[in-house]
Amino acid sequence: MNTLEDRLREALTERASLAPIDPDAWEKTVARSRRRFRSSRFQPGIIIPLAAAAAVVAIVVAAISLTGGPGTISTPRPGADATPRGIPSSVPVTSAPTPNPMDTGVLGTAPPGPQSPPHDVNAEYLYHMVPPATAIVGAHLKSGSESALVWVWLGYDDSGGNGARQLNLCWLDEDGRYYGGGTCGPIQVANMGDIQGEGTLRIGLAQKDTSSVTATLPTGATASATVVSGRGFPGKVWLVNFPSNDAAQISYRNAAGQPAGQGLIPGMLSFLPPGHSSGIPVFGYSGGTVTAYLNDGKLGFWGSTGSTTYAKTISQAPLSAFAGWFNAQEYFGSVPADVTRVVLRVPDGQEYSVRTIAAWPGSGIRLWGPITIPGNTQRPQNSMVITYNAAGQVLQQVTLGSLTASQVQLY
Amino acid sequence: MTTDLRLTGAVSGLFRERYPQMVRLAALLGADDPEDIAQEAFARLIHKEHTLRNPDAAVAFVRACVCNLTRNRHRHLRVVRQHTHAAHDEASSEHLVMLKEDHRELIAALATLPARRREAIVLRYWLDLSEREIAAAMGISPGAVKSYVSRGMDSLEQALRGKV
Repeated sequence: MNTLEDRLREALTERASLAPIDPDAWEKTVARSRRRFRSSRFQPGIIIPLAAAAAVVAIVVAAISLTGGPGTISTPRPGADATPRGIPSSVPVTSAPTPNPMDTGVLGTAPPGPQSPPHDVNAEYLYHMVPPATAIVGAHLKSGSESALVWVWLGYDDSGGNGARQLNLCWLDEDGRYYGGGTCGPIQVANMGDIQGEGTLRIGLAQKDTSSVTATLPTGATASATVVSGRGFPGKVWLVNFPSNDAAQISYRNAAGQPAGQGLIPGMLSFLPPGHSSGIPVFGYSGGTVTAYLNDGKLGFWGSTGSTTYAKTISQAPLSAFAGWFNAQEYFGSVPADVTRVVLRVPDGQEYSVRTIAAWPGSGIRLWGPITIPGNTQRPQNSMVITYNAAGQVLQQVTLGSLTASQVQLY
Repeated sequence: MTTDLRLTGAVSGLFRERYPQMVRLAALLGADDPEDIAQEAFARLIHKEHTLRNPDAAVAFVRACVCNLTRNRHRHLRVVRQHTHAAHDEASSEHLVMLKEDHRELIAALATLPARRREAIVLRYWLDLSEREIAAAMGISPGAVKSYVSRGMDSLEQALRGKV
């Protein structure tokens, strides 16, 4: 009998094959794109029936009347009856840090003055589903000659229907140039390291006294984030975009300009195809084997199904650490060739040890792993890697959070 | 060396290659008008084509757009249904009738999952994306992907068990 996974694949394939494809789709798409160029605002192809639009307005008005609080001041816009009220027509805009020209061309500047967040259909969905519990704040992002105005707010999403209200950080891009024009995602105030967004736009929440946030790419190039705050924000919200698919290290500075912590953004497309070197099996799991490959100084790990891939540059920093989910939460990676044993000390003080295995001749590295941590380590960046040589001497002792973006990948 | 998508005409090529897949992705995610979603996603790609450096990034961008737009569309339809009592779910759609019986049950059960679990499962088991790619498409962490897939599969099993 087929497994549920097999049946699911077959069912999805069959269902997908039933979706009709319009032969004129390209022409329609180009026409739609031209309409977008003529208008700076998103004009969706999905039209809400008038009654439905009125319903949306009614709900938003009702929801806002019930919730009240900051960021829900009713300011009707002239001639815009179908606009949900309660969304501020002008919002406080916090000055962003002084622009700092960088190789990646990413700058942060505050808008020149109060502006109105969008009220198109796309925006209305988000405003309704995650009603702003804070001000809606505009942030100008610049990349080369391109500029984009992105609106951010925080609110509670209780649309799941299970009674759980979860704080969400939302962003909305007026021109829809970042991954679908905006969305909301859960965020924990207790964990200011939470980061959302993939691709070119990354967004996160930082401590209240954060004055600047910088993303450092594996190449060494840096990109300064736009840092904004507003009425009701539990901390500073930062946004950054950079034209890289690789990982980045996020560094926070406080109001005094002192370093105030670091975080990591996983790379999105830093995959390299397996098979460019001989594979070295590292460990087995229920679905197969995790195998390491080396290609142009990049080390990657693959599961048997290809479902999980990681790649890191090891040519200059042989110590690398990865976290994956195969049987449970596993840590693995590479170390300099003289390391025979790796110990991982997790934040609660528990230590887990594993012997290293030989890697490719001349590569200067050995591989380690897996170290399986029972349960979920909430703050893996606080775990410490300790390496030993054959004589039992400690060679290196570093926290995962102190490793550079090219060395560590913690999901 | 990066590639300018506009200069190479890669967008139209990408459209030919990927448009049907994006329509089907939107359909599997439960969009009521999958073609509209896919066209909007590609229109956004055209709008920002000069800022994308390679086809992989373009595909990821369009995929993320499809997920976001479909999710937003669901939210809107939920609101509309609450106020118009309009009945629409995938279980009653004409496409479902055309499926094999066991597939029909599975797709109907999939349609009852919360949007993000459904997205994670479709991206995982239909597109065979890695956890990292799914995370990129959904705008969440790879760790969360694992959770959504796992919980989604549990829910599907429970739903199917209830049918027996």
